[in-house]
Amino acid sequence: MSNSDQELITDLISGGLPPQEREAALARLAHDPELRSEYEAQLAVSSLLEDAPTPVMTADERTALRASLVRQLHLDDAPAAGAVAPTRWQRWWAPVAGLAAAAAVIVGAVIVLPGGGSDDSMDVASADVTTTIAASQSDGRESVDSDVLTFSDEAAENTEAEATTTTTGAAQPTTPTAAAEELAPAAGDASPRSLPYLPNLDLEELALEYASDPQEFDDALAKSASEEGRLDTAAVYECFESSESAPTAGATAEVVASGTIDGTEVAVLVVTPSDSEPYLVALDMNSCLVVFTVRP
Amino acid sequence: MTSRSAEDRALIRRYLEGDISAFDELMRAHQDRVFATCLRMMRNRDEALDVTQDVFLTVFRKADRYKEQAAFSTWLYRVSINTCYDHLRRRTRKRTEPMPDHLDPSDPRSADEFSAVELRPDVDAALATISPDFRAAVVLVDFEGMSLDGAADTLDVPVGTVKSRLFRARKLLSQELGNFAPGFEHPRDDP
Repeated sequence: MSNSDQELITDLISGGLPPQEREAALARLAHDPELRSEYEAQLAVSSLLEDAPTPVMTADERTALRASLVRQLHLDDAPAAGAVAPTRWQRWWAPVAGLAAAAAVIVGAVIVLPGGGSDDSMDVASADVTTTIAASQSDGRESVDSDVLTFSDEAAENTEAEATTTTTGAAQPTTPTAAAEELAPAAGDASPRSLPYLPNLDLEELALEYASDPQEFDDALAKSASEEGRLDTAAVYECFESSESAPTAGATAEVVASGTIDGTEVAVLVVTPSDSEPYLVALDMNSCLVVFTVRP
Repeated sequence: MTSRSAEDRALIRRYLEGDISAFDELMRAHQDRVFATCLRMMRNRDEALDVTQDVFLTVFRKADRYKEQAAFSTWLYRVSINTCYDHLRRRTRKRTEPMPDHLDPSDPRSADEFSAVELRPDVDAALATISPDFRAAVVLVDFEGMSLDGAADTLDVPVGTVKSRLFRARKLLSQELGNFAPGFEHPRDDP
């Protein structure tokens, strides 16, 4: 069989021939049994391979691959996708992540060891620990001045979530709780924070400001605020987590301001879902209802 | 430009700007196809996983060298195939030394590996009989549905070379697998 015949068969199978050339090629096949036989055999093999199931990685293999890549690419200083929005929180996350990891290890050890090392206690401790992490940096400065509520993927799927908030004070391991309870940091663990207070706030306007430059949003809020208010952010998160408007797993939420809308006292949160753009919500702190949501 | 292609370029730009979420989105979009390509080339799950990891390491480490004139998927496939070639060469070198028992192809655990990855064992065995160059051509065109021009671009060879490799590869596979002419029912498909 000539090279041109081989090429003809390959072109026919690929479907890339113009209509006229294709008709001419098929006409040749009709009058050349050897060529036709080869074409049919090759087409059958091609179809068999095309229809073969595509092998996929298992969930464990995907997790292992990601972990290995993150480590080797030194991405572990940054938050996982969907856990924290990359721009707004990156500036403080890196130093905290290491502290949080170290504190979590210590907390885990504190919980496991008193149980005498029995298998049961270890399973419980490693699976369902709500960790309230507190740390002071080695240079004596206090840890971050902000905290974030993370809605864990694992909590939704495996009830193995940790809700992590950074506060000042001592590390406090808590007893295992149901996954839903773990999502909210314990109320009262965080001291009231100073936040911009905006009477008669316009959430749409705030959303526009946030969209224009998320990294400068704090400054914009501070300039817009007539005064500073104090807010128990842990209580806000507990309230938000219990509301019907709580985001799906993988999202994060951060309280950024407080104020009033039509006389109702609200907390303003930036919510960052894992699979879509951040949006703003105003949460009525008395009813724990989201009274206003502005999406991009 | 396809929406996937445009999305990939945007993700690469975001990754280079330090947006780590772009890393995860790129992984989610491409990891299974890269793994499938590597598995079909390597025919060993553990090796395919290693190669998949190396592919993404290369891609993310050299992301700044990605030229947007080419589709990201073409670049990704090129890195995948080249990384597979590298590992296959290393494997060949290793096999000049005596093989430990557990790597003996007659080891029944080898067959278990193949059945666990949903590759038809007969197809997989047939793929083993053809050279990596031929295998790369059928992996890209027949398994992955790439055009002849796309495969030529990925493999960095003339399109005529791809056609020639495809023809010869399919002929060998046809002989290995038996008669697949229309109307023929393969014994594996019999009830």
